[in-house]
Amino acid sequence: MMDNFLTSIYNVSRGINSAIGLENCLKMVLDAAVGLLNVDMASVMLVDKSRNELSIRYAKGLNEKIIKEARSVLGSNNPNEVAAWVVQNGEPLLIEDIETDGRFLKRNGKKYSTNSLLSVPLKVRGEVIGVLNVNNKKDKKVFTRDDLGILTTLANEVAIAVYNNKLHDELVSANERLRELDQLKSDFVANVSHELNTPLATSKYLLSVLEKGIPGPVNAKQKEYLVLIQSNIDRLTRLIDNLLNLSRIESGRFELKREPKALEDIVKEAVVTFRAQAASKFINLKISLPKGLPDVYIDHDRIAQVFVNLIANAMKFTPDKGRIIVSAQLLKKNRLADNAVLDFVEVSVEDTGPGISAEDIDKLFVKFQRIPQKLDAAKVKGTGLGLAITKEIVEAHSGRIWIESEQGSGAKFFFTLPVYDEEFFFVEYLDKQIVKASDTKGNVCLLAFDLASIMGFKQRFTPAQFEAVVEQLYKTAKENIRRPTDLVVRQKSKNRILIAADADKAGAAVLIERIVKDLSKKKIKDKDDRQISVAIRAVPLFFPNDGSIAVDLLKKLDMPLGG
Amino acid sequence: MQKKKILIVEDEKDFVIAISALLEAEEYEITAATDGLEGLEKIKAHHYDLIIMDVMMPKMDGYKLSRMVKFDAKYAHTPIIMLTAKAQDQDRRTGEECGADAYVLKSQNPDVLLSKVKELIKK
Repeated sequence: MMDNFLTSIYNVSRGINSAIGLENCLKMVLDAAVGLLNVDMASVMLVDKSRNELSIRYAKGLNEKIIKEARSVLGSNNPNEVAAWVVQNGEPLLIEDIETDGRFLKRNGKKYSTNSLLSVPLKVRGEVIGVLNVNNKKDKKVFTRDDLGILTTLANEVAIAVYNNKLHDELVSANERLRELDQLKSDFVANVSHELNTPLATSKYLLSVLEKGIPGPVNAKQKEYLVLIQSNIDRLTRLIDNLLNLSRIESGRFELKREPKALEDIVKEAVVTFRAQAASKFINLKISLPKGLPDVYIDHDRIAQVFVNLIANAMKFTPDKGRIIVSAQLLKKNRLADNAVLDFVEVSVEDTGPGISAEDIDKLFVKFQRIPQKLDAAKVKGTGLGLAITKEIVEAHSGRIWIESEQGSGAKFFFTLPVYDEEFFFVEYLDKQIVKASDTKGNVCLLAFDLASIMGFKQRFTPAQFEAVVEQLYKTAKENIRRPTDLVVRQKSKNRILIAADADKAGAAVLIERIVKDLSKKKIKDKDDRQISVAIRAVPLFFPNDGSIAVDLLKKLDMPLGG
Repeated sequence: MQKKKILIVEDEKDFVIAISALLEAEEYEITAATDGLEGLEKIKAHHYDLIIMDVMMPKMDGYKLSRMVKFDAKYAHTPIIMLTAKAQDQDRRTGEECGADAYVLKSQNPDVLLSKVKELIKK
């Protein structure tokens, strides 16, 4: 008996903890109750606070009609129903013979069909949330104190299960609400951005038309005012951009869309915005970039914002006839926090403003912080957001930002951006896709096409020809990926083409076939000038079956095929 | 020499006036359409050297219009500039997927648009 009891309790308890769902849990408990106590009927009734009544949540040995219709009203001074009495008193009830007890009547005034019954409260944190009832001993015996002990233990398990279930439901609906709010907010941000930007853009374009003297000549004074309006519109635009960016950063929706980009293009784009303003203050705004800088791996719009913020900042503090220089240099082989080694481009924006004291430098990147100005206050305005956001953006790119300055001798802002390294960022990208896939139950597939692994294949070409074939394969792979999120890289050290694709087994098979078919159509000639068709196969690896991080998947590639 | 023809598809009438003023001064001939559908009809009926289009427009948005132009061999060679306020992460990529040759933000300096126009018409 005791063994049986412990096993039942253990099973019930394990069931509850493994979150098998309330329904299954209640079934387990009632099965245990019926078996252990040798009864015909068992039921769990729960309190419905809004209706102030008890109803059956789950039962064994009762017909459907009773389960649906049985109600016990709560709140009467002298409850004449067993379950209501237990809830209101918060105590278990053991009745040996209901006729002799005499306190309780059956619903509708009829008599109970049983003589002995047992009912215990379900308590969570001192609050009674329902009852667990058993009646009708099969052997017509009466319930004992031991029976009460067993039922109380089971009741505790039921109470926990019901409570967990309630918490779970609340969590699910709270999450749902949050998701809706988040969507609302992101729609709002998109709308506001559109609504605010359009009138600003119209004004900006018309001002530019006036300034260029297109409708007619403008005199010097008019031109000065036009430039002033222009720079105020730009300031308003930046303010809006920064506020919208901040709202995105704070809602955690700060996802970078990184691509290899030439730094020069972005710098030029940013500088052009300030040309008129610089001219009006006779500031020499210069770009000084070394030739042949490699592409950086950045989110174009975000880094454009970094440049705009830093140049705007320099512009604010540089006096008339001052100088602002945007320059850059390549830093080779920087060690990152995770020990990876990567080249960076170090960019600097240098001004001839009043400079910043050492203690103020620390406050610079803090949100809404503004340095008390010794300068003409009217000249220097801002939300105090620009630099905080700039820092967030740079750091999201694994870059660093810092300032070198001395009071009285200008300031030089530095930041670093990673140089694009296809293989390095492929790993990062693959990991990102894996994280995304584990949230959304999506697919991540890693495909590798390795021409050098085909027996005797490489030997049929001159090195230059082989190089061209690998390049051809690279191009073919790029042409055949379907989704914008799929990424193809050429692993230089291994002459291997890697693809990170959002594909399941079937999708991967289709992709491989398309690439192989497409490649076989290309006119490839070997060193004896014979046209050959390339037959290559790829083994797809999947998350999570073949590995749960990018590095594991990649490692698996280097194992012998079929191993 | 004949003037190069540019079609502007944009529902904000004031903004159309502004872009037209800027581009007409550079000796381009400007035609305007106020929604995506009208834009498509004009593209089918006339030859243009360049199309500038907004993204958020009534009847047919810029993404769809761009796809329809770029996937029709008859017009696919016409360069498209998306000129939009949509600066969100995904927008630029979507624009490029839909075949836009350049993606310019309305908040950028008008000279950025001007230089893209010159670059794309020269090609």
